[in-house]
Amino acid sequence: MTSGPLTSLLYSDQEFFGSGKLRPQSDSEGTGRDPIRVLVVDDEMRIADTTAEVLQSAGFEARAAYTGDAALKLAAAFRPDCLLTDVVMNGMNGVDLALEFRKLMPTARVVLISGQVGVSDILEDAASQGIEFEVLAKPILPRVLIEHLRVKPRP
Amino acid sequence: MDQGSRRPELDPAENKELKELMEPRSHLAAIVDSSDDPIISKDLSGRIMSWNPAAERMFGYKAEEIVGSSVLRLIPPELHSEEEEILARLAQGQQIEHFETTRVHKNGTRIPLSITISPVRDAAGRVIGASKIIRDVTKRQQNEESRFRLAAIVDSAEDAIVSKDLNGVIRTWNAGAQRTFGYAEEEIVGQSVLRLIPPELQYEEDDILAKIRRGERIEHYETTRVRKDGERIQVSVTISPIRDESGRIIGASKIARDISDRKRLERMLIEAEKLAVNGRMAAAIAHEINNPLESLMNLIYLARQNSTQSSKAYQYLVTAEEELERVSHIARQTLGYYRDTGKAAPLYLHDLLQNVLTVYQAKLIGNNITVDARFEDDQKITIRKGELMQVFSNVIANAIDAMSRGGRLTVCTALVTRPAGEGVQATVRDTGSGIPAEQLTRVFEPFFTTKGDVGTGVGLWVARQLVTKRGGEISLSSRRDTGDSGTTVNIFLPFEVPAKAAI
Repeated sequence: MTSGPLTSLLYSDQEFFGSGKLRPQSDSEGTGRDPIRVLVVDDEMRIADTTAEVLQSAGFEARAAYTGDAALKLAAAFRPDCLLTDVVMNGMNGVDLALEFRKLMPTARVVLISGQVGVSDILEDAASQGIEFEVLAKPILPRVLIEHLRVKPRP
Repeated sequence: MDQGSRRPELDPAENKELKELMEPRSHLAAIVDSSDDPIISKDLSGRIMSWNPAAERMFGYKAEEIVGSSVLRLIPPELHSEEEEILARLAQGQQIEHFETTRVHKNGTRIPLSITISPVRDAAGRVIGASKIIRDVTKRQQNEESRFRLAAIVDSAEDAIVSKDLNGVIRTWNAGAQRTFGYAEEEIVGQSVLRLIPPELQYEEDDILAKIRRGERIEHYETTRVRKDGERIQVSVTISPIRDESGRIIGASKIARDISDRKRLERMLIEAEKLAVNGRMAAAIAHEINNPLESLMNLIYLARQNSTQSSKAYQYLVTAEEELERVSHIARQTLGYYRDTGKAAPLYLHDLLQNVLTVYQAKLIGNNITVDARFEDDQKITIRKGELMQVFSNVIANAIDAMSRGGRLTVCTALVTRPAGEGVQATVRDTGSGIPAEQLTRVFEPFFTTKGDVGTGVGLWVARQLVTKRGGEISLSSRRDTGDSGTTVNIFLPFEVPAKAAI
């Protein structure tokens, strides 16, 4: 079929980590009066801050927290539509945070993001308890992250 | 006359004759007395007539206690019938040689012994009694028993136990030796031990023989030996000198244990340890690299958002993002062999191959490798993308490594029908130097690498696991002819998903 120069990257991270098929959201939901509220949690402050800023620039309402405890406190007031959290963190890890957060806000979306191989074990543990989360691989391109969060997961 | 030997009370008629023979008789008596073997005489009724000091030592009776008594005192009750037979044969003038039986010590102990019984005749040639020369065979029996026991131990030993003389000629060969080296006893005994030693190690034998001649022992010496079928085995050998009764060294015994399996295990353990260290390092590096990468990508994205689209800076940032995209893709691919937790999804295999080729684009160009891709798989196949990315990344990375000085990489796909069903076949061919035939069978083994220190030896092993799990097959062929060398990897994936792949 092809021979010679090769073209740009074709992969998409969603397919790697199986958040399932994507369904575009209607325009009104993505750009309407009520922006999607995202709580970004990462113990690396620079990542949490820049990610929140990237999302802010794309029309989301985003806040950053650097620990699980701080995130839970903030969540009570901020009432996010989505929790975007790192998995391997000092203190409370992302999965424990996600479990606590679910109790607080059962209908909100939870997206885990991880740069580590060993994470799949933590997730399998959670899955064995009947809890499944969306997972994205770090590093994730801002463009890909924005698209991912704009689209509602398959129910 | 010596008091130890009591002459039987003889017929007075014969006394005169006896006295005449006194001189030579005293010689004989001295011999009898000094004999280590018991010598007893008895008359035809079985009465003991003489008893030498050795008899006293063996049976515990003094001459005065036993002379005149029936010889039955020395015979265990159940063997009393023997005596009648012996007396009957004596009466006919027969000699009984090396008759093995049991007798009883004064204290009741049974003594195994060997008796030679000869008739004693008078001057007229009439049989008047018998002399018995007795040999204690307890020691001999014990020796024989321990020899049999030793032989049984040697024969049943797992280890090869071999003896050789000082010229290195094999003298004995046990069953363990046959198992270890493949030669039967009859084909190897009498042959030089050099038949078991690889040509390049034959100098060892001179050293070994020199040490043995000096009476030294060689313990747990690890070396290589050759089986009859030519296979080389790792052995641990202990060699000791064999001495004769006088202490002279007459040869050597050699105990060899096949440690090939242990050696293989040792190598595997070392490699596993190496891999575990690599794995931990990869995980640590992944963490250390992925986090800054994440920040960097966010910062460049934000910088681009904050610059004028027509500015040069904006264009630089777009390019920087593209480069970062490549770095992060490779970091994910190489720093983490992650388990694909995603669900299998239908996709075109050629899209996936195109992805992998893109990842390696810079390397392909840098190594001056041209790519020839022909994709004819116009049917989607249900696979876990991450796993198959891993498989083809490994195969294509190997092809690139094989062509460090340029070449042609052919990647093609086709729909094929195999006994296993219909599916997609992908072929990756390089024009590298090829893999030697003897290594070809090992490339799917864990920790086997043809790339020296650069390779981890897991790539194809993992690839095969992933392909097999999906119900597919991976095979490899290689040519090393000058001008027509290279390696071809074929991967077949059936459309049908095996039940146990749990997709």
